[in-house]
Amino acid sequence: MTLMNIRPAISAPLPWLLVLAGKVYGKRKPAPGKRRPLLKLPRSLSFTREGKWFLGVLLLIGISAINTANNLLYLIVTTLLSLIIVSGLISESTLRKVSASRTFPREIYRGSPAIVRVAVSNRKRFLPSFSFKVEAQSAEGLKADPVYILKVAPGDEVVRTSMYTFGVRGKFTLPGVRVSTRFPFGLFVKGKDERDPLEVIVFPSLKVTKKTTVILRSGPSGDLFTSVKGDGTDIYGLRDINEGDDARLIHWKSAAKASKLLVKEFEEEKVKKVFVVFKNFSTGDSEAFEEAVDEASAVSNAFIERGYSVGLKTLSVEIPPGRGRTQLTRILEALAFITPADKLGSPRVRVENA
Amino acid sequence: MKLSSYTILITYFIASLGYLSVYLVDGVGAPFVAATGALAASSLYFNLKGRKVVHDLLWNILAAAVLAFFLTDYFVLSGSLITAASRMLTLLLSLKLFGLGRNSDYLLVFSLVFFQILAAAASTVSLFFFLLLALFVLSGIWAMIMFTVRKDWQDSSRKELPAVEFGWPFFISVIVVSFVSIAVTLLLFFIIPRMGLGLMDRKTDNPLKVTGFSDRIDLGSIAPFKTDSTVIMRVEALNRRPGLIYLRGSAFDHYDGVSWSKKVKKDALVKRSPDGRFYLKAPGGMESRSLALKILLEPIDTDYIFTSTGAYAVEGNFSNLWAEASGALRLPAPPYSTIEYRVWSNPAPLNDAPASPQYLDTSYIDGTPEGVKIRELAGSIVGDEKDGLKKARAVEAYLRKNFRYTLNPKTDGKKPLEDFLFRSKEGFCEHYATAMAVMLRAAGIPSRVVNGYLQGQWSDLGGYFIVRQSDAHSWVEANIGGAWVTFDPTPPSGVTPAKPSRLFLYLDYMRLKWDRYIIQFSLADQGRLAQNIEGRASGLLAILKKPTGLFRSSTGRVVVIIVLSAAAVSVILSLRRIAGAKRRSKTPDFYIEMTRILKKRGIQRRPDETPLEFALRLNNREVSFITGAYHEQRYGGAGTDKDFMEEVKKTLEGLKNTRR
Repeated sequence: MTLMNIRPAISAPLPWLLVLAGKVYGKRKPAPGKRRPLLKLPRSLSFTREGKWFLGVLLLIGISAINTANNLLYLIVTTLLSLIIVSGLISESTLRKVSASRTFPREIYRGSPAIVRVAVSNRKRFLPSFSFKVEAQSAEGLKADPVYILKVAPGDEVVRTSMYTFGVRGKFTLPGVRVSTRFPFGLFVKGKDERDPLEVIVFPSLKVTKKTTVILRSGPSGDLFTSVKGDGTDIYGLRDINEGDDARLIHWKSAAKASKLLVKEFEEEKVKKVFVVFKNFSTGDSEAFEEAVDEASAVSNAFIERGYSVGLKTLSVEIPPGRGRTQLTRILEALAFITPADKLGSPRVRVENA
Repeated sequence: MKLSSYTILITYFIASLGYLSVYLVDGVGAPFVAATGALAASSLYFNLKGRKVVHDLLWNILAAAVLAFFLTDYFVLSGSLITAASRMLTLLLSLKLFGLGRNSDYLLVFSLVFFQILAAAASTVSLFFFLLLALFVLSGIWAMIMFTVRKDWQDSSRKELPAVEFGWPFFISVIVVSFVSIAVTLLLFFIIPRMGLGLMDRKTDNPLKVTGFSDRIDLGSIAPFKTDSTVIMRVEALNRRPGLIYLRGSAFDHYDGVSWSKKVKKDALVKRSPDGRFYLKAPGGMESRSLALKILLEPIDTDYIFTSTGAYAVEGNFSNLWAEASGALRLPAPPYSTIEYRVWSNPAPLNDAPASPQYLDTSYIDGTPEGVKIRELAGSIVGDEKDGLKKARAVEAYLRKNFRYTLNPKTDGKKPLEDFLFRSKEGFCEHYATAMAVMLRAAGIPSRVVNGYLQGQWSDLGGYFIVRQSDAHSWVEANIGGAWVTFDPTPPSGVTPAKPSRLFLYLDYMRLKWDRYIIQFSLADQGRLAQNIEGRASGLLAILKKPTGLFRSSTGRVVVIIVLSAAAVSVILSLRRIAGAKRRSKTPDFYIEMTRILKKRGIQRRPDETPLEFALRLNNREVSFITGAYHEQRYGGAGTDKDFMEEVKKTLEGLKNTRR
């Protein structure tokens, strides 16, 4: 008889026990050597506040049903249980065959939000998907806004943007996206993890700080920030205006004479070459090291933007000077992957003439 | 439709289910439900205009007032927790309908309705409840879907929710899923283990009033019930026997001129035997020919249970039984709930214990001035007949032939028997039975009057008799040669009862099943269900062991055909799925076609080559074009338009036809 008394208590909340098992199992982290657990539950499940209330009421009615042997109370208990099944079916249909692909901007800088294009498609043939969220699976050093999607029609695709902010530089492996929904009843949050391993390179931050300004001012060309116009000043000649020319370059006097618009052409300024020297000494303070990396990047950027030919010298790498965005990318890439050298010291940045 | 008017519509529908549920709760009363329902209906006007009348502060004050009302109701007015709580929920619901606005307001309305349904579940046994619950599930699913979408949207954006096109496929799938949910509900209902003990058994507060079963019965008291069509019990004959079934209730042995009562009071306690049955007497070796009845008795206000004539065993969920000397059976207390029991009885009367002299008691005839006339009448009917049975048959036949059946006999009630026999010569079952019993005693035959029910209306749907109040009846049992024999001197009333409509029979059948398999469902039923399934499973196993046997029966053949075609369909479907998965590979068909053509000529892409490198190596115009198209389609997301595909097709054809 006692065994009989226990049985309903176990069998009635059986689905819940399964959920609980899933939660416990789902949270287990794989051992460092393993790539992922052998068996991963395909869906994650958790209760919302309303879901907890629902469960509480269900258990209460369940107890009173057992207590009173009132079959109509049993009927209500089983109705609530079947609603859980319905909820599972509908939320499954929402998540099924929904996938998201992300497109990242070409350049991503540490600490600045990057606008990511998230395309969510529903490959189901008949059923739309309603009210779900797409977000990046959590990874250390990543802050990403979830994208909420009200509806994706069958066979359709919806595009949204999301802000991703990376806290670390270098190669960053994004584990994938998680699609989750409270649909249909708001009692559970069901989620599925889509493995979509993407690698992006996060450049160091280009933010100009006080220290960057100091470095720039002490650089070879004096105060870079005051001599904003870096281009040459001697006029080389005049030519017909082309589409896209700056209106400021129009030589109005000659234009009046020639009764057509002529623009000034300047003598190309002699290219200045500098090296950004980054002494990437090893230090116990990783934050200081990161700051120095950011400074080196910001300084390189400042020179490139002003048309300098810039090279990079570190204890481990040397990049010969060059101009333009490709050169900047080259330098930033090197700085993105730079690690402290074997020598101890305080990492610092300075600029010298090539 | 706009989501807001959608929500209002569905909210009011759900609220109306709440009012109907409360109507099912005992003691709430129709006027209360009607008044609060009317109040709620008037709130619709404000909601359609988008006006919130009851704001938060007012709501709090009103809620406190309703709580005070609840306490007064519980302690002073109704005294019943469920009634008072139902009234409170209904008042809260009516007021909340005036204050709809936020999501939480709607959620509160749905919760209130849910608890109203819960209250109904605790109080009613009506079949109507299931309808309400099913409708609540169907509409509740929609309401919850809409509110979840609304809430999710509001959580992610401050903008107004745009109109959501749910679309027909989704609508239909939700409807299908809802019905699946109701089916699953029932399935789970039968599976969830029952405890087999109710600490607070379901009782009704107002059992059906029945007559004929108290200690003293005035003649004529059955008449008002003869027009009442309320169902008293449903009787299933487990093995049909020819002849009418008389369902005995109580029997009387003493007539005082206006009423019958019991003088013989020798009640015996019957204990349950180890096989779970109550044995009243030895079956007498007639088990194979005995009549077995399954009776589902509605809650009535008497402790008598009804058995067929000559009952020798009863099985049911009662602790013990009292058997009166007349064979009437009593429960220890009125059940106040529907009960089910089985009765076995002998088709032929057997020798019983010798009849008590009380059954020959003629003190009334001897003490009344018209007693002589009664004796004379009895004597003239019986004549010189010596055989007891023939005497009794003669009296029975006389009464059937010479008297008129009416429910309104002319009598002042002071001497109903004499009025019946000598003056009006009209009456109903009680008069006929009384007259026969009294005359049999005058003729020296021990007799008694039995009150109970006739078998009632046959329902061919469920194969059971529907017994109503109007089937209440009185008849006579006479002890002839030591055995009690049933006589029914009442002629047919001449009024054939209206044939019940098909709809009524269906409803009654559903009600029976509802009572039997939902309300009365128990651990024992689950045991039976499990045994049944086990039996079927073993039958299936036997078939699987010897599959040739299947083809012998036509149902077996049908089953085999169904199973085989289902298997074939599933194989085809899964093959299509696999093929479809292949087709859905990211490489477009035309590129695969190109590799196939090239392969025929012995040109193959090396595993380390990218398509582009491959094309560069071949340096062929067609291959380069198709590779470009492939890249465009796969990575550029373009190139699905018609002209483009036409071009690709042509190039492929060209490639096919070039000779090398």
